[in-house]
Amino acid sequence: MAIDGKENGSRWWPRATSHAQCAGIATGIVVYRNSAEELARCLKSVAHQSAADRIDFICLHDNDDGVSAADIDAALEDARIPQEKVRRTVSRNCGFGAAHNLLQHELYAAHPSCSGYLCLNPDAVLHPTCAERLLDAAAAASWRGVFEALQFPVPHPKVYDARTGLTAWCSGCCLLMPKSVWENLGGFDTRFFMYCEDVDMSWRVKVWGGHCYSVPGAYVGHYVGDREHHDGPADMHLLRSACLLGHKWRSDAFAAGAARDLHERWGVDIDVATLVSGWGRVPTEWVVAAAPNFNHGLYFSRAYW
Amino acid sequence: MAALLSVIVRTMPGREDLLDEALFSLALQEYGPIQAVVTAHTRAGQGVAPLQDICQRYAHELDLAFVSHCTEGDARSRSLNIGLARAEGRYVAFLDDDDVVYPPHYRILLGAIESSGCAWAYSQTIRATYRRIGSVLQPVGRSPHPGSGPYSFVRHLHDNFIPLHSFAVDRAGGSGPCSFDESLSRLEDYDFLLRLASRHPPAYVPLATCEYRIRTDGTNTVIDGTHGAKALVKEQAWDAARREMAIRKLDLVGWWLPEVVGGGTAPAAMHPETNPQAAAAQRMVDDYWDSTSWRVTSSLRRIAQMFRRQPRERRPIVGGVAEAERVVAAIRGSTSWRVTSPVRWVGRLLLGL
Repeated sequence: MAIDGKENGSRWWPRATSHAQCAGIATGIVVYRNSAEELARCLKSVAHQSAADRIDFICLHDNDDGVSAADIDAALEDARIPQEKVRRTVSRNCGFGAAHNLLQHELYAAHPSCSGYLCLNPDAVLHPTCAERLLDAAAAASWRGVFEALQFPVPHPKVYDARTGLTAWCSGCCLLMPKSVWENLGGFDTRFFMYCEDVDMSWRVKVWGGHCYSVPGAYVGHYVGDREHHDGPADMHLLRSACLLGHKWRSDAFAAGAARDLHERWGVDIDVATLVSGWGRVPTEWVVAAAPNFNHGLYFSRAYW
Repeated sequence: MAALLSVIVRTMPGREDLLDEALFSLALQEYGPIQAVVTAHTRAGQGVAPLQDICQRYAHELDLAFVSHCTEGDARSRSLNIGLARAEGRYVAFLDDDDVVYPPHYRILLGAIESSGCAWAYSQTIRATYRRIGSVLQPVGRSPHPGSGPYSFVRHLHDNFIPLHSFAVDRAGGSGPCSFDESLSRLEDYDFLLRLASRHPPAYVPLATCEYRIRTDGTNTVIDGTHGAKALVKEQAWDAARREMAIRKLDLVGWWLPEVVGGGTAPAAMHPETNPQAAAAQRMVDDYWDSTSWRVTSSLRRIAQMFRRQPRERRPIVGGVAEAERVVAAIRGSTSWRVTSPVRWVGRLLLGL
C-alpha cells in the first residue's frame, strides 16, 4: 500500500493511496431508547461519509429487548440505508460493552474478511470525512491500535500529541477497532455495564503492544453540555465502574475515592470489597505496560482544562 | 413548521478547514430549518472552488447559499450585508468561520425570542484557546467569555461584550437596523447591535451555547498578544475603530454620553480581544502556565490539592498587567517552580552553547 507521506491541509496522517489490501469495515451502534429522529441523524451521517464505500455493514443492536425495533425501522428508512448493509441483533439490556461485543462476534463470524469495527454512539453524528480520517490513521499505524475521533464542538479535555495522535486512552463514542483488537483482546470487558470499559480496553491495547490514537481532523458531533451535571443514574454507573476499574488496575486508592464520591454525591454506600468480589486484578507487568493514569480523576489523563 | 433561520457565515479562501467546522456546528443544530448563507470575500485571482467543496459536504443537512464578492481591502461588513440580502429567514444570525455554535444554541435563542416577545436574544459564550502545532489546531484552554452577563444598555455602551455569533434577531418587527456599516472594518457588529439595542431590548439567555475561538498563531482579527508587524497593523486598526465608535456613540446617545459611561468620550473596551494590554498580560501568564517546568510538576500539585481537598487548578484568565504579575509571582514562588530550577538552568546553559 503506497503512502504518499504528504501533509494535506490540516491532516498529519499520510493518505493511503491504495486500499487494495484493506477490506471494508462495519459500523456498530447500540440502541437503548434513542428516538427515531436521533438515530436517523446518526445513520444519515454514516451514509454520507466520504468513505461510505468502505463501510460494508451497519450493525444495530437493540439493547432493550425489541422495544426500540420500530424506531430503528423508522430511522433506517429515513436514512435510506439499503437493507443488505444492515445487520441487527437484540437482547435485554446487557450493557454497552457486552452489546458491542455481541455485534462484533456476529459480524466476524459471518464476515471474517471485515477489517475493523467502528463503535459509534447512537446520539453521535459523524463529520463527513470522519471515517476516512480514521481509516487513514489506522493504515498509517498498520492497524496496530485503536483510533478515536475527536468530539465536537467540545472535545474531551484529555491531552493528545498533535503530531502523533498518541493519547492515554480512547473514548468509545466513535472508536475504530481493528479486527486484530477483537481477535487478541476479545473486545470490551463485559463486567463493566456502562462507562470505563473503553478506558480498560485502551489500557489492554497498550499491554498488547498497540497504541491509542486521537486522530486530528476526525470529528464526531457529540455534545453533552446541555445534560444535567451529575445526572443521577449515569453518574452512579460511572463512579461504580470507576471503582471497579481502579481495583482491576491495582489502584486501591482510586477505587476507594470513587466509592467515597458515590457516598458523598448520592448517599450510596458500597462496600468496595463486596463490589469487587470475584474481580481479579491485572498482573503487575500489565500496569507497567499500560501506565494507567489515576492522578487526574475521571479524566484518566492529563487534561487541558 | 418552525420559522426559517438564516445564518450568515463569513469566510475567505484559505480558511476551508475553519469553514468546515463552522458549517459542521450548524449541521448539528437542534433547531431547524436553517439556511446557511456563506459569503466569501475574495481578492483578485483567488478562486472559491475549495470553499464550495466544503459547502457541498453539508448540502444534505443545510439549505445552503454561497455568495462570493471580490473586494480589495477589508470588506467584512460588506460580507455581512451581502449575506443579509440573500437571507430568506424570519430570523437571522451570524457566524464567522473561525467560531462555532453548540447544538442547542439557536433552539434556545429563538425560544427566548418567542417566549419574551423581544426582537433579539443573546447567550453567554465560552472563550476557547487553540494552539497551532504544525497544521493542527489543538484546544488548550476554556473559560467563560469575559463580561458575559445580563443586559444593560449603559454597560453595552461601555463594553462590547456580546460576540457576533452569540445573538439572533427576529426580522419580523422590521424596525431594527437592516445593514452593517461598510465604512467600519472593526467593531461593525458592535455598531449594529448598539443601533438595534437603542430601539429594542434583548432577551438574555444565561447559558453558554457558543464558542469564541482564539488562536495563538496571530490569525484572529482580534488582538491576541502576538507580536510583530502584523500585530502592529492590527492594533492600529483597532485604535482607529475605537475612535470611530466613540464618535458614533455620541451620535447615538447624545452629548451627555460621558455622564453614563464615565470620563471622556472614548469609553475603554475591557475585553482582552480589544484591549492589547490585557491580551499581553494573558500571554505572560500563558507562557508560564504552558512551560515545561509547570506542566511536568502538575501531577505533584494535583496530589497536593487532593490531599488538601482543594479544587483542581485551572489556567488563570487575567484582565490586566497587575493581575498577571501577581499570578506569575505566585508561580515563580511555588515549590514546583523552585524544584525545577536546575532543569531550566541546564536548558539555558545548553541554549547558550
